[in-house]
Amino acid sequence: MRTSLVALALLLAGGGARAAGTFADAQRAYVERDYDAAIARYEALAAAGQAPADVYYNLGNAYFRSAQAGAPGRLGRAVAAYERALSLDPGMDDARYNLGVARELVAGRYGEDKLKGAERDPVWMRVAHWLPTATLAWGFLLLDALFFAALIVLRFLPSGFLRTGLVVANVFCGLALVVVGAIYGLSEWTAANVEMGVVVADEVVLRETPDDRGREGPKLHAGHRARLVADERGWTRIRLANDMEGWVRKDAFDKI
Amino acid sequence: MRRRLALVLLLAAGAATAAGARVEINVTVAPATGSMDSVFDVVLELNVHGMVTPDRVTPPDMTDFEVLSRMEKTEPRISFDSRGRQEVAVNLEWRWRLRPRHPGKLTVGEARASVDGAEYRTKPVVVDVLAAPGAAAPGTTPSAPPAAGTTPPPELGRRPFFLYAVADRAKVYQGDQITVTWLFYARDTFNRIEPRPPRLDAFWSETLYEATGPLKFQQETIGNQEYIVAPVAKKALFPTRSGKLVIPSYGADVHSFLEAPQRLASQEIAVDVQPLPPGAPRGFDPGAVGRFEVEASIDRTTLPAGEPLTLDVVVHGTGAIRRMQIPALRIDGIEVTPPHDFDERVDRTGEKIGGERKYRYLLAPRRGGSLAVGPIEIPYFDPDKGAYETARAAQLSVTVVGDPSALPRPAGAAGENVIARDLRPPHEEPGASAGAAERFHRSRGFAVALGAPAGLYVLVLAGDWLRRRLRRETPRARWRRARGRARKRLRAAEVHIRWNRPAPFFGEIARVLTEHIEERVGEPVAALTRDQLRDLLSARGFPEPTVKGLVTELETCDFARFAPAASGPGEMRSALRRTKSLLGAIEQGRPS
Repeated sequence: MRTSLVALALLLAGGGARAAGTFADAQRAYVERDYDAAIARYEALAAAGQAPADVYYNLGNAYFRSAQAGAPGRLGRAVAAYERALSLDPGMDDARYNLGVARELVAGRYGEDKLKGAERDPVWMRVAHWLPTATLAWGFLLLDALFFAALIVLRFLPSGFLRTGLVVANVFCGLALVVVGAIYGLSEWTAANVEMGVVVADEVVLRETPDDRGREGPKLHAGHRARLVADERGWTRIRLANDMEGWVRKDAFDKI
Repeated sequence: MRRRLALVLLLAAGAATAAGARVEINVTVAPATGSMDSVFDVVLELNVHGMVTPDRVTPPDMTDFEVLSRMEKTEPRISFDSRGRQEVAVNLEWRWRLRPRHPGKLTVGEARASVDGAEYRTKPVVVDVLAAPGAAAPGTTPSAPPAAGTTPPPELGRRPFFLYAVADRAKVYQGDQITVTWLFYARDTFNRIEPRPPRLDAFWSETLYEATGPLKFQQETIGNQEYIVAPVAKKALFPTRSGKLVIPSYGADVHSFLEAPQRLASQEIAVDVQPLPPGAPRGFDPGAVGRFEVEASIDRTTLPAGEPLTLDVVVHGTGAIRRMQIPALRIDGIEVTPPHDFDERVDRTGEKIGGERKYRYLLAPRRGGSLAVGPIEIPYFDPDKGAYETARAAQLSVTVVGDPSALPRPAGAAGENVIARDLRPPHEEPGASAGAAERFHRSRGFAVALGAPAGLYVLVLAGDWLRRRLRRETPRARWRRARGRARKRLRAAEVHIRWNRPAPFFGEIARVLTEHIEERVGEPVAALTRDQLRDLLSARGFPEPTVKGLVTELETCDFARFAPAASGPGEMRSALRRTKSLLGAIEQGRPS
């Protein structure tokens, strides 16, 4: 039994060392400006499931530098990588900042994709992403504890100024609890049911049917966020922020 | 088969059109010079205009070569001239892929065709085959012999479908182009093919062709098997590092009617990538491998001090033009603002990929007088020569009228250092995954923690309710207490029986009956006479036997208390039984 435990510990330690080695290799390739090699190694780390937000963040940097050097189809992947880093660690300021820089470059190269009928994501989706889910959860929990603690105290508090004040405060606390709870629920529902993604190709045509001969719609550019609706035979059906839907090739759209 | 049918229909349709036959016959061999490792492509084209078919076609003599593969194509055409007259033509094409049997001047013999009784011939073609493997041929890289396996091996001829990868070279410099074509071979029917392109991590890739619509098939013979073959994809690959690299296999799913999809994978191709030689010039960009030229122009040659001018630099040539980085320019006396972006045009039509990129720089002269702009130089590596070269644009000059340094600077502009937004640097070490605090809300503990305050509140409410309920005086509570008292007294009475104490026994019996009656009627009865008690119980609706039994039992108790010697244990037990029965009757009695 003890031998098995020691072997398991060694195996885990070895796996960690290998992962760190790959990360260091990727870093070295990045420093040497061999962005393709850096991308391959970061992608390998991500594919192996050893993908904390930092791996996606660095992957975004490698894609971005590669795109700056003129490689096609890399800017969208940079945006996707930053988005993924933020989904894993919503508090990562670096990823948020670099995502902004990448979007600026996209806008500079291809112009900004403007949607008639919706400048941004729908209101409910913006509300759902107003704060990170973990923050909403902790806020909801805190308000929940405060609200019921006040109710319990009120059972034993004699009438007077203090009781009146506590009643008024608890009314507001209850309202806040309902609002934060609703947003938290929406955020969780969105995370479970709404798959978002970004266009990773430099430019892709939205088609009416999942076929190259399908009627052409508008062109979307790298980094355009959309909701993934369905996958079918190498094509992905997406819904834009203005609720317009269409098909793009699967390799031109990446799930966050 | 379909093409042959089309040809027959075409001939039938044009039977009424009387026209004289015009015949063109031609043989081409490529390349004109090669080595023993080279593969030569021979194409025999026969175009017959008019309503005739060739009587006989004799292919060229190719005994100096080993035939690796053969393809045949027939293409009927109907066209109309400017006067609306119909013209019918048949284009026949045969292709052979050959490998020389020996070095020297080898001949591809004449080809003959007999059409409408007339004989047409081509001239023999002679090619130079050098003995040394990898010997130079014009326009090919000295260090780049053709890759092995340019035609499928005969053992693949046993399969109904397969994918085969063909690379034009097996040995290149880092950054130089390898053209890879993935071919789909079929000798069975199928509905459609779904390509699964590989990841090409060690290569910069440019797509030259990708099958998005119906495949364009030709015929080819492998061993004794007739196949139709079509390219699925063709890519120009530029190795981004040196060493032994592998071009991964290309996959595809073949869907056939009523059969599960069949997954195919082409063979991998090993490529020997040579590192670029040492001695790269200053400013060399590793992406600049190929053959490039550079041109430069400025928007004006004279300008007043304080005004900027634009410099357009156009780099064009063959190579991975999109891989090149924006050239960094340093010009004496001029501040250069590098371009944020560029225009580019990629040319994928030739054997080698190429194109042009146009960069627009903003120049701000810092001195007055005549300033030289350039020469603009782009160092690159020429893989054909195996040496570094430098593309130079002609030197330009601009005259600045006045002295920019003497101009008053706008307020606040002195020492202004405008810094554009750029990326924050990568993280040095992989951090831990999202912390426990981040994950907590996904755990069961979160639901418990969320429900705990509400649960506690419910417990407080329940405790409160229970407390109030226990304090409340109800008939049921009174009866519960009365029953408890009665049970207590009856137990005491039983003790008295055991110790043979008639007086206390009957005292307890009288009390338990009196208390039970009082509980039932809701008023004291201890002070009432027996007659008054009888009347009260009758008035309250107690049955007559119960009333009679109660009064009698109470009288018995009075008698026994004052004459205890008359009552033995037997009498006490029967009194206890009667009392229990009477207590039950009191509880069942209808209250008024």
